[in-house]
Amino acid sequence: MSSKTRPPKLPLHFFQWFCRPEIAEDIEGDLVERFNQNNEKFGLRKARRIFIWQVLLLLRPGIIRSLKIFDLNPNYMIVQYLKISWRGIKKNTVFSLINIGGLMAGMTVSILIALWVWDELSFNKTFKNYENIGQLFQNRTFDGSTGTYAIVPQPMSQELRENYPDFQATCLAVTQNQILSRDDLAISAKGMYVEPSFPEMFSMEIIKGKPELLQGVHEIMLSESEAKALFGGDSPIGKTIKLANRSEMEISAVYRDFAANTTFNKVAYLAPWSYYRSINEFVRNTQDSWGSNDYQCYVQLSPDPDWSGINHKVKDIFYAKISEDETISKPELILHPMSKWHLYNTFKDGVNTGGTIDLVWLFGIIGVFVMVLACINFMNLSTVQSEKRSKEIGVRKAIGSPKRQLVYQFLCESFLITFLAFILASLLVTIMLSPFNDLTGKEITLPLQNGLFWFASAVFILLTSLLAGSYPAFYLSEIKAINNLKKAPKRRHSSILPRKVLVVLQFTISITLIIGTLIIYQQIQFIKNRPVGYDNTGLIYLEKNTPALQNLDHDILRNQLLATGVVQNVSESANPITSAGFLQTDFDWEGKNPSNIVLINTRYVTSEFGRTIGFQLLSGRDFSEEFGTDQEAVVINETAARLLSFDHPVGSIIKRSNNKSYQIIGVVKDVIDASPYQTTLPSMYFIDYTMNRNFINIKIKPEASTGQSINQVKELFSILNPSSPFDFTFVDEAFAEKFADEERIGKLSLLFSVFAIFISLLGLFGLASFIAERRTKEISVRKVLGATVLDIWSLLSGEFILLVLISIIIAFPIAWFYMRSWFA
Amino acid sequence: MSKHHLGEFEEVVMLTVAILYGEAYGIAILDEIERRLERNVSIGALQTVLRRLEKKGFLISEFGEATPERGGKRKRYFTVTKYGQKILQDTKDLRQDLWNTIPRIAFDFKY
Repeated sequence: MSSKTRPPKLPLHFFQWFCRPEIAEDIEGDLVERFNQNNEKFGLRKARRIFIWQVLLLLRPGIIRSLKIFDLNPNYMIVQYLKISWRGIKKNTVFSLINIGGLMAGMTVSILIALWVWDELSFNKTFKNYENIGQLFQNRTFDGSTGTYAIVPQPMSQELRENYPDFQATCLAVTQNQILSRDDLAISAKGMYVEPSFPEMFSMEIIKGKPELLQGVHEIMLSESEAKALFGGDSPIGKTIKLANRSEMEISAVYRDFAANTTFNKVAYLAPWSYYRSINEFVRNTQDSWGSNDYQCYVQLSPDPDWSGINHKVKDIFYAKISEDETISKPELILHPMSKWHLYNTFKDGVNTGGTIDLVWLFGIIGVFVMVLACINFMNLSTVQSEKRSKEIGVRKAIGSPKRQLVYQFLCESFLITFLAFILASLLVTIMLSPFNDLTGKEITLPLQNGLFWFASAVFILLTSLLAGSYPAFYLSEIKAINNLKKAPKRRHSSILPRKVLVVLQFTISITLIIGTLIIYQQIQFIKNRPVGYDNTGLIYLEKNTPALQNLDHDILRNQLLATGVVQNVSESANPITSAGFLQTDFDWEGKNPSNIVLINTRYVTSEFGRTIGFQLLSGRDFSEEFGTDQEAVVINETAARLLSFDHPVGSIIKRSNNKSYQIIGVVKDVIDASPYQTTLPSMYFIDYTMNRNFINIKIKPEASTGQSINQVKELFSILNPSSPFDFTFVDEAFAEKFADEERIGKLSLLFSVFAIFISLLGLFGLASFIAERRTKEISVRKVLGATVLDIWSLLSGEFILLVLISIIIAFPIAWFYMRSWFA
Repeated sequence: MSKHHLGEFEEVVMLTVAILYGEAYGIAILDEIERRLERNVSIGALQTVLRRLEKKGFLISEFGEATPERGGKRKRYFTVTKYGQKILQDTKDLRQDLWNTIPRIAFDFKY
């Protein structure tokens, strides 16, 4: 019979598939015989057609196999699989522990990372208007470089609200720490001054009080927790509290605390913008000024907004409002949608370049890698054990277990181990969650009520058991029964190479992680070692946040503090030591390029400032009370000296917009006040008693004990500034705070690297001990023949050392490449 | 009378199996039915009936030889069991009984 005259294959296979196996043979024979008869009678085409028709007519209840026959009772087999898996786990205790331990470690890391990523991605999502709220930013170009600033002028809010229909609501806001006090209870809390649209814009939940919000000037809203702290169980509505020891404010409403993973976390009170304006002369004066950029502004667009289209409409809003001189800095308004506030918070040259989202990616990838490491352990240990289990497989096959059943058996085993590991990992996560929260500065909880969490966990277990169990399952079930039953199973080289590759992969990943962590730490250390330009030990500052402090005469305060005997020096400044001063542009000097606007970090201080913080003079002199003319003098830093490029900076003149001239009296070393990661800005120190000097800086004598000295200073302040807490900051701590984010990343990646290397070593240990066990006889013979311990050691470890060496060689360029792009 | 009622096609199949004594396998039965009754029967229809009759115990089957025109698959030969024979007989008797009770006038009537 030639192949051409065979019945069509597809219907035949179909028949073989659906027909009950015990009657299939003779019916198939009949079909074929009939086909051949028809072929001779009617020709091939018709014969084929009839054949197909005959097959279709066989689809009858008596012929089709029953569904049950597809599998022998599968439920019962699962019980069998589980039973045998459990026996296997108990029998090979060490390997099971390594497997479960490795998977547990991997899962713990992955779950923690997943929770972290979830938390980051759901940031701010609790706001109902998440999709259509934005914040205003602006780009300005100074001295050729574009910066992005989160501040706009006051009239912006009204302008957008009234003249641009796309903006449903706008809200000016400024965040401040203030003292809230009632009777003898005083608490310093973070709060905001906002326009009346704020509560509705951010879908705040009002628990008690008026629904029409922030209407009066002297009204305040408290968060639930703040109200509880101040009033205990009493209803605070209608009662008054003192804000900043200045004004009595009536509590109009109590709102539910903002969720932890929102921008307004821990905002304890909201006070009206009208009040802020009433107490602050500067705010009043700049009410209609487009030239003074000082405040945050949130906007709410109509639902489903076209961000880039609307942004384009308002991009150049400044040009009609400000003078031509001011437009040299190319102001450009940017609408930053709420969905990007947290994850895309970095701007470079005026363009959004990412931010936290990079970390989300980084840690997400690490999580997947660590999980892969744990799965590789499982695969390697399973395949290496296959020789031990080959007899079992052989017997199973001989008795008639089809390949599919073996696959199920192995998958079931990996499922059981994964499941055990998951339970242990969940416990470990529960224990580790609190330190993990401390480390990440988050308030993550296990979302046990969330159905999605359970679904994700189930998918995670299934995926892991498939990933970990697939290779052993399909590889082991492939082995020929006869080979397994022979006395000495043949060494299967086909499994050794993949195993080696997997080990190399494992160690490449772990070593890359370790190198990355080391580089991050080195970088932080490098920046930490950057000279700060002043002496921050024993240095504290406090904000003048009450009228009592604001009205205190500087000289009296200074003398009283010095009189305690523990204070070395006292000064005041407009800004805290650890943040930049005012960034101002109204400077002119001989030889300045007129088309170039330069941003100067301008600090207003009292004459003792330099001696208090101990900045280092390079030339000239510091401010001094002995010279009555110091109000027309300026001290500049090195960077400013380079910018001015005078041959002899000391003695040269700088002009400002108030037509005043200032003489440079000294040049100091750069002081790091803003970000230690950026180059220092050109800075100038002025003595200007018309400016608010909001901060008191106190240098404690180095020979005095800090704790006792602080207590003495505190006592003094409790007299000078009654019924307010002594709220001060150590400068060195505030400075260290600038590294908090980076150190957090460092610590996290250290934690993950430790887990990764632990898992890899666990796997290697498993492999090595198994191989050593198998070679016991060989080792004994070698020893009898005179091998030393060293010989045996190199025999057993040589291979692994080679693998790890290969990993190191691969890992270095990878780490180098990625860290380079990371720091770029 | 009998719990086992033979359908018309079942009866035809059983009789054909009996006719082809010793040679009664699928295609042979089909050919015989087609030749004698001049009606087309599909393999599916025939096989379902054969299996049903076998299950009821009217037929018994055994594997026979394989031939190349069957693609190397064996034939299955069917024979009527004693029980099957009795059922056939019963059916025939029943019919006969019915025939016998028809009054002569019924068929002699002329229009």
